[in-house]
Amino acid sequence: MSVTIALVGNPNSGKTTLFNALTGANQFVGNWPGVTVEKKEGRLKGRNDVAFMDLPGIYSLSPYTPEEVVARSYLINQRPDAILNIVDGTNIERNLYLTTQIMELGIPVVMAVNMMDVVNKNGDIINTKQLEAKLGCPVVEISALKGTNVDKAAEKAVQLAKSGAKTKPMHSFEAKVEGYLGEIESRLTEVNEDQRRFYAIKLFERDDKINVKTGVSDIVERAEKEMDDDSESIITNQRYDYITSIIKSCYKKKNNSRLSVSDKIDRIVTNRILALPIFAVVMFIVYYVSVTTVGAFVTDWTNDGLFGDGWFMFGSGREAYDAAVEEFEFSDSIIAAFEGAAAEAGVPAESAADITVGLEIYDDDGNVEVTDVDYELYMSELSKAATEPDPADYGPWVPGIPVLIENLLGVLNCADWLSSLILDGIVAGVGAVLGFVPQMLVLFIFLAFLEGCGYMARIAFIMDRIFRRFGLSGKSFIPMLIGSGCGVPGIMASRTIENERDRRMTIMTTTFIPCGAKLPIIALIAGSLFGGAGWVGASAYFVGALAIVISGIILKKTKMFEGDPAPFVMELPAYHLPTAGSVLRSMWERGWSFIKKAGTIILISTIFVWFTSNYGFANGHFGAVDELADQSILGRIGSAIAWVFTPLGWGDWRAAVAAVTGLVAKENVVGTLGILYGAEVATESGSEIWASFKNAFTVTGGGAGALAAYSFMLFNLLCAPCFAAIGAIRREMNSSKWTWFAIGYQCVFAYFVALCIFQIGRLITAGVFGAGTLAAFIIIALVAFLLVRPAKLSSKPSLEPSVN
Amino acid sequence: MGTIIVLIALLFIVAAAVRALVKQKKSGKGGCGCGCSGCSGMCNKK
Repeated sequence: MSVTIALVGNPNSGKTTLFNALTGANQFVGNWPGVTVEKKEGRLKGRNDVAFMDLPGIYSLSPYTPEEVVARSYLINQRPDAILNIVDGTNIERNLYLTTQIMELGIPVVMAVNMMDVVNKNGDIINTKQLEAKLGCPVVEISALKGTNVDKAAEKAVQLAKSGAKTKPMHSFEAKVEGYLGEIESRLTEVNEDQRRFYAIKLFERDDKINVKTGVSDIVERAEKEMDDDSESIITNQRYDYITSIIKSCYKKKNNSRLSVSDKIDRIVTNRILALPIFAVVMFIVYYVSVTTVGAFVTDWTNDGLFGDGWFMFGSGREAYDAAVEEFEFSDSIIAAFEGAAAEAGVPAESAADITVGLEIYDDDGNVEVTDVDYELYMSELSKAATEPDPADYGPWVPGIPVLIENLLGVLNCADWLSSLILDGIVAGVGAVLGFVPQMLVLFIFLAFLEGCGYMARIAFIMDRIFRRFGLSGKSFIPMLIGSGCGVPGIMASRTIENERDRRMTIMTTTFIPCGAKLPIIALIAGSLFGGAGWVGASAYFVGALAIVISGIILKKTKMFEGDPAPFVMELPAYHLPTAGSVLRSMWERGWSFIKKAGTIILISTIFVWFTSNYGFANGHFGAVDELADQSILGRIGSAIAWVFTPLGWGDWRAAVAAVTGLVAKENVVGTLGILYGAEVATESGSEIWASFKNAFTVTGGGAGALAAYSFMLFNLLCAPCFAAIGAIRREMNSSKWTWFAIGYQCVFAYFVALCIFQIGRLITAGVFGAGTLAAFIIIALVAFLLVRPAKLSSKPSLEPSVN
Repeated sequence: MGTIIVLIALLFIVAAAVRALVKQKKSGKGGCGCGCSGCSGMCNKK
């Protein structure tokens, strides 16, 4: 006989950890409410006849939040064969409120007291036998994290489900209330007998989501008059009296007055003055290690080795080979430059004694040096008859993927155009994105650790205190926290915000926080123009948070969004060290998603970019444009729109096109740049895509390459998100008008920010003042006015944290 | 002949990528190209 068992419990009680342990499925485990909105089903390991349903974490069976409605609806309508109620043993008093309610459903219940490892470590004592007697249901002590007794709890629930034995709740309200409930029950003739008590209590509480048409308002009014209190409070107060009596007899806390370790940490981490600086330092460390040190070291290998020419095994031979290549390429460049100049002059190179040409050489940092090449120098280099050094002559050499593919295509005698598509399009584009995987993995480890240990939940609380001053709520920050992984679930998490105006504003601003897909953009700019500086990545998050705050202040003062901020109550879970397994699993899941995206959307996009950047109408006919890239389809489109971005410092068609392709997927920005800047620029040590990229920004930025690149980065981080996120905005807004408004707002905001950064930055660093600078000052003045103009809202003090 | 072999292989890869995206979209997932495991349980369901 197949049975279904529902896992029910408060958020952060360990339901999903238990679900993973019982079913072997991998669910994302986070430490803030709303992480599991959907119902999840799995089979007990080794038992196909037992299904577990992981319901959303809820504090009660009241109908106030979507999670409660989903869970309650399932329990009432689907009626599982048993309920496994997971209770946090370190916070048993709060968890018992839900327990008293589910006992009234008429479904067999087993209670699993979780986190017993922490309870025992704290020296607290739970008398489970007494708890069983008081509640009227079996109680099992477990530790879902350590796997202790999880099988025992599951087996108990299965036994109860198969036996069909009903759980009789031991709790009863005071006699007067029981009398009224009895009256209500007698009217519920159409309701199943097992469920009558539950429905009677809900109707007494005036629960308007209960789907029973029986009129009982006369009974409720009599009760409220007699007891001089509203019916919901009557029930709630009596439940808590019952819970208090249970706690007195079943639970002994070792040290009532001493602060827990979590409390002590939170005194510092959530301190009014220290909270933000600590957050800044944490994010800086995360990015410093991911982008600048560990991650950069491995990414250099993937970019230059695995997806480049290759690498020396164990690093031996690199120096000698680099020196030989530098010498050869210098010689080769001199010969090519002189012969090119001679050909232009229509003179054979061997007799062009009067010709001198300036040769531009770019180093690895994109700096240019000009060498005058005359006849004497040309003949001297020609006489050397240098041949390209073979890396295999200098040490054990492993060719990179592009080299292997090129060799294979050569062996197969593949057509030039197809080889170009594969090497210059797909490998260059996808390889450029995959090259950042090591940095992403390191970053994901840090983020998984911060989520798993409980710190991320504190950030929502910290931001609530700040947001509330500006008419926002920390509840709006939770979608943004989720959006730091991916904008799509971040936008969808806004469903937890009841206030429609706050919800719309949250949807519009959630994607200001950089998502995982934007990380390669940050890493590219940081690596190629800022020497891998960690502050670039951290600053992207702070600019994003600042954009949210500024947007919130400005929009809250408009008729469309005005109103008081919603109250924000959240549970801060106790700090704990996440297991290496859960951290690595989270890192792998995110990393694998990143790689899968590269193999699907990015792959298709790079083919499109390659074709449209290599083919177009030139010299009156359609065909390959080769050297005339700006006359390709993409080049013409890019050139048509590039002027828009000139005030931002990057009015180059390739940068403009890259920004547009970012609408498909933000990683495309890097992939597209990889293809379009893949045309060689001679450097001292060979072709360097990113040196070419840096040089292009230096040119378009009027010498301020770093500023132009930073402006490019900020624009792409703040402008409209990818199509998938835009689709999520459309679904959540449920209005095309609001969707377009959101996209328009994001693009305009991004444009203004990038403009101000570049123009003001150039004024400060180079003293350049122009029309763009004037526009920047006007924008700043306008924003300042919008920020300080009076508003109608009132701020309420934020609630203090409830720490376990 | 080599060109044809490579072209067929490339078409196969692209078709597989497109199929994966369409399948994802039809099953109600994000259609964003990545898996849903990193999406904190949020998904594109009404």
